[in-house]
Amino acid sequence: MNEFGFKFARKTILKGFTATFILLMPIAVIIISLGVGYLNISPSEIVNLIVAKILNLELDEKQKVYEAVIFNIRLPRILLASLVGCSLAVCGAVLQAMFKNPLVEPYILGISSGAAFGAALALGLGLLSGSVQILAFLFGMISVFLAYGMAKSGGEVPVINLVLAGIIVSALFTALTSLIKFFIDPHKLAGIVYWIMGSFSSADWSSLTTVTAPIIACLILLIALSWRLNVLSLSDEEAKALGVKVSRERFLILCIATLMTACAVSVSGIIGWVGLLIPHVVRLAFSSDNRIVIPISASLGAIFMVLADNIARSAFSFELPISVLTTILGAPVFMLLVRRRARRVWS
Amino acid sequence: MRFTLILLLIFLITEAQALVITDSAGNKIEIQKADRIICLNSDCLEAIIMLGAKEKIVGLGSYALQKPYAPNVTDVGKWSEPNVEAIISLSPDIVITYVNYPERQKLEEKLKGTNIKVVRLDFYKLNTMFDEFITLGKILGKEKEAGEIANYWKEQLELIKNRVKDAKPVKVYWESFTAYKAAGNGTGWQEILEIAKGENVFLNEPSSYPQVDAERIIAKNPEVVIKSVSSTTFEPYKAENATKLEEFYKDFISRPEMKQIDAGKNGRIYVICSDMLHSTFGLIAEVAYVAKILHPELFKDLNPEELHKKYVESLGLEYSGIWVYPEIKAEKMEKPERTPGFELTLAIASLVAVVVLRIAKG
Repeated sequence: MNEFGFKFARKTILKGFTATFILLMPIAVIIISLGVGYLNISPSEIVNLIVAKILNLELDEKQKVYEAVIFNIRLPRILLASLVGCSLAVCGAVLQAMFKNPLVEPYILGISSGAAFGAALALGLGLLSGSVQILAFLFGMISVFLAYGMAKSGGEVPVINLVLAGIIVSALFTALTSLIKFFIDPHKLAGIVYWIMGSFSSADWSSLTTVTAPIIACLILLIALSWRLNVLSLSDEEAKALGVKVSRERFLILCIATLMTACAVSVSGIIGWVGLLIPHVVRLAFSSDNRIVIPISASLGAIFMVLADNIARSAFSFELPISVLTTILGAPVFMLLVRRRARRVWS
Repeated sequence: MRFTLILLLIFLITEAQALVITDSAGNKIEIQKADRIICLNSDCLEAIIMLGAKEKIVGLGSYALQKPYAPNVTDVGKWSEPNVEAIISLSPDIVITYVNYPERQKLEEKLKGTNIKVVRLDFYKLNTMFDEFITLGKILGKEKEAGEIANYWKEQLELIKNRVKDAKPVKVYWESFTAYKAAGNGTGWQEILEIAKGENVFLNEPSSYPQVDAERIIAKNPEVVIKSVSSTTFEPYKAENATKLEEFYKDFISRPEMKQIDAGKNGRIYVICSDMLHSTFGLIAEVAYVAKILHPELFKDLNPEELHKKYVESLGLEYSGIWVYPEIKAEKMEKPERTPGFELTLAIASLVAVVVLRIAKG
């Protein structure tokens, strides 16, 4: 093996090692995060609790409270944060590849405005608990399909049409949401504003169980389809020349990404920046190959969101809004990366 | 002699006509007459109805108009963003609004050059309410009635205050209309807690409505939880049964933290429908409810519903419906249930899988 080949192999092995490490990291982060929170539970107490649980010992009063905090409050919240982070990052990566544009985020086709409108509608009409999630989900989906329908012209769906249609649909739903906000009882207005800001504070097992299956299914599908995304990132003519039915592929992938984002948004509200930041970081650090970008984005997105939420829920005596944190944490990191590496990837 | 008498009479009449009052914003306002009145919010509407001057109202803010006791008059826009042209076209003598809303630029400045006087009275803060009621009585020429009504409610409030004077404060988590948004310092709810000897567990936070979470609530371990809900959702004055409230309550108490705190263990979690309880003298009924929730042993003979009934009837409505749930007493909690939407999600996932498979084949 000549010198160049050796270097190349070493680099590949190193990258492979880092990738494996990143893919396994979420598990470690989730376990560590269980020990983070407002209530001060020391690691030894957590170990005691787990030992007691495994040995099926009788728990004392204090341990019962800790058990509830760790398994009924922290665990579902952390898992939900990781799923949402993973969804947003993956969908960001997928849409960026599909639109061949680095500025695309998961909300480009109006899903966030649609979901916000659905949530506002449910909160405004005073429907009971679950309906907020359901309506947010439905209108998130509706807005994307509306945009897609608008963009379709003669069997083709040009990317530029899609972006424009997304802007139109977003504007429409934002206006409708504002209309609800204007007419609504001020008591309920606060609810809408906070929902739109995004938060995991009402996470519980039932919201987690509702979204886990579809999100995981979408994730697996997108990873399986990631090689096709590489083809789709070529120009339409090139892709067609390779025998890919561009519009159909695009529609399929868009459907999956939309379903995934809608699930995430419906349980967490609108959390910005993650879907833009993470795929960029992955592309800058690893490669633009979607077969790598998607799984690593999933993992990094989950890690990032869990860590941000750890700060949101435990740093102060009150909770910080999560989307504020994702932005404040993400912006400087992104800035640094872009200044150092960006030219190589997106030129 | 006759001349001086006439002079005196004229003086008296002009004096009587030019009534000068000071509103809660500290403005001295000369009131010539108050036959046509616009209220921008429901709080002043309530006060006017209690004084029996409903027929003088010619315009109302949009929300106030939706109240069941509102007269059918012209809509003059939002309480915070009134439609000034609509106000002027009704040529009212006075417009009554909150001390801080809408801002002066949106109201007084635009009404410059007209004869319309803006009177700023809140009617939702216990420490200014009684004086404001007397001021309104003066404006409406019903000072005596106003004094009687204000005195009655003041007495009720004093009675409650006296009872709880030596009581040990009870730790309370009071949640505002939004989930996990506590009612903190500077809110009307905090004012009620102070009177009813409740210790707000989220008092010392930088925000009036601090965002909290399940873990924080467990850490504070409140003895009582009170949840305010909006009446426009539950419509307590129309409610014939408590089903909607019951369902909400079931969901609320099955939140993960509720089983862990004293309030949940002892069944001391309550839902209060805010509207028509959280304004004018309804506040005193709310104080009574809360005082009884916090110190049931001190208020065995007090029935807050009677105060509430009196208040609702003073608005010309019939008292009915359910406002506080469950009934105030110590009882065991029901076992919470959980309803995962697993079936639905599986269905969606399999649908997607089928579509994908078909496309992959083709």
